[in-house]
Amino acid sequence: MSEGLDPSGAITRRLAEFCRFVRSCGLSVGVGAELDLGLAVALVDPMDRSTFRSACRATLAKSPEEVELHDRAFDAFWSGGPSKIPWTGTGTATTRPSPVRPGTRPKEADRPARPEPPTVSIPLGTWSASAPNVGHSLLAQPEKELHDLRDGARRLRRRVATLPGRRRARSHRGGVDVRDTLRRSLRYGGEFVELRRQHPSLRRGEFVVAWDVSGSMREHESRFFALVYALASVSRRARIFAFSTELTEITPEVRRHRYRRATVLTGARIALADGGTRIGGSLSELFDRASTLLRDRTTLILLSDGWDLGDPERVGRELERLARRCHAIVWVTPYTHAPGFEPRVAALQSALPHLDLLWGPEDFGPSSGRVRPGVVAPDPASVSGSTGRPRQDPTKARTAGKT
Amino acid sequence: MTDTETWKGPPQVQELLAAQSYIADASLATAIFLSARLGKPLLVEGEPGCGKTEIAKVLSAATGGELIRLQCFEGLDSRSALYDWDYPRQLLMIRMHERETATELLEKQVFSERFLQRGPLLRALGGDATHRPVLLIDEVDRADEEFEGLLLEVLSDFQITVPEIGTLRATRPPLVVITSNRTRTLSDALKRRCLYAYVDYPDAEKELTILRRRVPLLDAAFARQIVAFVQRLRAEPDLAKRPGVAETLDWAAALLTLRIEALDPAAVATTLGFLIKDADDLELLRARHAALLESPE
Repeated sequence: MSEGLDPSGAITRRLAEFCRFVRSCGLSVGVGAELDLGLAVALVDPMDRSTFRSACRATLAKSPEEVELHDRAFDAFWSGGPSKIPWTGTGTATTRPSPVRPGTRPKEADRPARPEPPTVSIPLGTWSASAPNVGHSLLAQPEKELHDLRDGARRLRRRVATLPGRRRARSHRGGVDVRDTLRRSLRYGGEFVELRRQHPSLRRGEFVVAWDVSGSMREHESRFFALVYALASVSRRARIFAFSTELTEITPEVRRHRYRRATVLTGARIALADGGTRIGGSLSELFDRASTLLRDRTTLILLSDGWDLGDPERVGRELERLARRCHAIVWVTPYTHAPGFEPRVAALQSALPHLDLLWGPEDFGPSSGRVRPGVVAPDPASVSGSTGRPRQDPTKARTAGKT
Repeated sequence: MTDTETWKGPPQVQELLAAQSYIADASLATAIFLSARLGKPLLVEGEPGCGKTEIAKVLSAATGGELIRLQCFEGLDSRSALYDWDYPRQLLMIRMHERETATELLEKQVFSERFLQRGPLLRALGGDATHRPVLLIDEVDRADEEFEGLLLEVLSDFQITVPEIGTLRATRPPLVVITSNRTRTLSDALKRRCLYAYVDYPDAEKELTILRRRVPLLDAAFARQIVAFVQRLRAEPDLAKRPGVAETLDWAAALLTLRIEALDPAAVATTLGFLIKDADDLELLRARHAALLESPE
């Protein structure tokens, strides 16, 4: 804000305090946005609360979730001082969280200048005797294992990329690229020395990952998180969701940080999503929340052991719906390669007709450069639903798509 | 038509947009006002069919600036968005003058602005001083992440560097509207350069106002009935794609064309395809639409 409009600097100071408060509430506000706010306030009437609020929102928030968080922070800050953020989410117990935000060091949170941390109500989810509602402490896996998982994820991505895209790549076969041929001819004084050719390249597969973080998966969660991280790192548009009784998107925690940091942040984030499993309900929520993500190039990867407290038939119904939208569905269960494994869990049995691949985490490991076939659903040629697409034989998915 | 520099505040923007039959709430009007006055791009996210693209169109009409649209898609590259050289004409030029002109001079002539094919981004930087062009970068989430990197220089400095010519700067920054349907998360770098607005589905009152403005021949009671039905439809669980305002307007226009004057199950069943664009949703609603029609508002 210019000095002429705010000679004492009081408004500027208050705006800076507001930005600090908003940051402490979890909004990522950079210095650029703070400067924008100063300039914006000089252009609007700060005495008009509604306009002032809109100006703060336009400059500080960058997503609908941040808009909601900003609005609550705005009301809390500009209505008597930075004390509390009222949380209107569903849920039960009101608790005062640790002053340490996920990813910050305790020393940082204890600085005296920082406003008092907000009081929030944490939605606890449905209670389940089989899953204690305590936090997840994910352990970082060795670099070598992560590297192998990444290779496996890359192989899976290549395997599911079977659709021709709009991009064209140089090739020895395919149509003549007139523009490139002309450009190349400039090197030889306009003589057409060589014909340049191109053909449509395969579309990159996109991953949507749904990761079961319920109690029954507890002993595998560190390893599965490494797999989730590997899947996210090989697909540019991967979206990651954790579920137990409700669905939580953890894409920012997984994608924006290095592995060890992502492990800490994700462990803190999914602590809220613990407690039993409702696979069918979570898949339904995934369909509602991510319907725009589920497209003909999307591969849905479901990481779960199949233990479900909900209706197992619903799992089949929801997967049938998802199968109509997605390119492929891959279920990864920790026990696939255990001796004598058979998919006997009710939810898994209900899901089998709609799966393209049933894999174990071992299938992502080193396998002499070849994709292992995985366990095939009992009737791979079966048609899912009246309007559903025919399911491919998982072992032939790649070659069938190419032809 | 007004110059953005003379805009007094968000209420004036609301009036200007309303004159173009676009009903914007105070929050959106403030974001547009600040975007124009601060010279920062406006990133608009929201559900499909809620009027994100329309913002750029009405801004163009309200300010008199040329609307330059860059429709994003996967595989969009710098040649389509920034510039490309007119190779056939360059070739002709070389052939015509290769004997009498020195090579260096010929190269200079061939790589001059005369042979530059300007893409939408470069055209947007070349607007005149009186009317700021409106640059619409539509559905940026469809483009690859690399393309976002390409946008950064344009959006922060309003300049494009052509190695053969130099850096081309805008005399006056264009009004930039970037839309996204949130099919993927945009990079922080891009978001940092933009002001942000989220366009949600309108409430019943706002949707009724939009409908009356856009389809003025519609009877008031009938318009209320249409809006109430659409609002109930949006509240239905399990829909993969909820109808936006664009679908409401299309549906109302279709009903008007068919000379239907009140909603009944038969009329809804025959025209439901205007509202619902997903086969599963259609199947789901064919069984439910009569109940939806009868349920209280």
